[in-house]
Amino acid sequence: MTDRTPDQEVTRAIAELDRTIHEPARLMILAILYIARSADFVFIQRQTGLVGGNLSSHMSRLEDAGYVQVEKTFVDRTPRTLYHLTETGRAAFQQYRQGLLQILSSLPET
Amino acid sequence: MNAPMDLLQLEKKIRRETLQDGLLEIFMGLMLISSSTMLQKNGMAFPFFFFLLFGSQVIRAMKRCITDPRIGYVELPESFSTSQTADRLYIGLGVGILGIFLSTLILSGDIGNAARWYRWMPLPFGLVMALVFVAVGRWAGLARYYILGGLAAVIGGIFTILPFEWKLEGMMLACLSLGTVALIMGTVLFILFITRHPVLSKPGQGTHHSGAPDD
Repeated sequence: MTDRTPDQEVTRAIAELDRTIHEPARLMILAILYIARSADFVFIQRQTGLVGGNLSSHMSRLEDAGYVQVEKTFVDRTPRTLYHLTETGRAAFQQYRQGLLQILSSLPET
Repeated sequence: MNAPMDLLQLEKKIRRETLQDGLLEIFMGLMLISSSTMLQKNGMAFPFFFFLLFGSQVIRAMKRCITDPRIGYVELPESFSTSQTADRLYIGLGVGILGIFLSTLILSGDIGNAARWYRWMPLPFGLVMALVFVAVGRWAGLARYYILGGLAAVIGGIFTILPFEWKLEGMMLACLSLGTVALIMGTVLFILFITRHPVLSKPGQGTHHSGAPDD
């Protein structure tokens, strides 16, 4: 059993937040993919307001973390790149969300 | 990026995005107008069955060619997050409408009269269409569907009250007027959508580079 003070608990919870998700752009991307089954690059770009290169690099980071899966398909003989949230990504996002809510609710109003 | 993250609002925003092209209204309008064509004396059933069988494929193809290159593609789950109170209200509304309609028919003591049924058909039609539009409105959080729903109920009521010589005339006019409103609304939305959103990519295009994120 640990004898942590409430302050230490909050500090520990903040330190344990997933840094891959905690970055605002990636958080927004994951939130979109958490709601949608899948989305293409253009849609995510419009929703997040990120420039193409920046979005691509964030996507690569999320893909490397195993949170996002890329699916390349053909629709009417034209390529379509779709992004999905993986099960790992979904679980990580839920855990992040719960963690953040716990931290925020434990803080005093003023 | 600085806006507080509300997942329910984000969900509705994404749904609104997918409906801003007006294609759903155009499809509904064409379905209703073709229904009225079928209900006319010596009416044609072909347009109605064409839209019924191929309408969704045509809309999907149009979305692929026109909508997706402009705003991107997103696939949404069919279920949506809603409150239990809103669900109960919606179900209560449907049951209430059906109850009022049936009890009025029974109380009039004329339930077996076919002519009465024909005459009253626009009312349940309008109410059912109102429920359909309210369902879409709830799905996307768009006020225009609630307006269409209200209009459907009013149109159903008006064409039930007005006297007509032919038994299906009221129903035919109800379909035609509601369909025309939906079609005009959809066409205006479609034109606005095309003018406001330039093509960003060829259909289905996606990019995936590598590089360090700037965090």
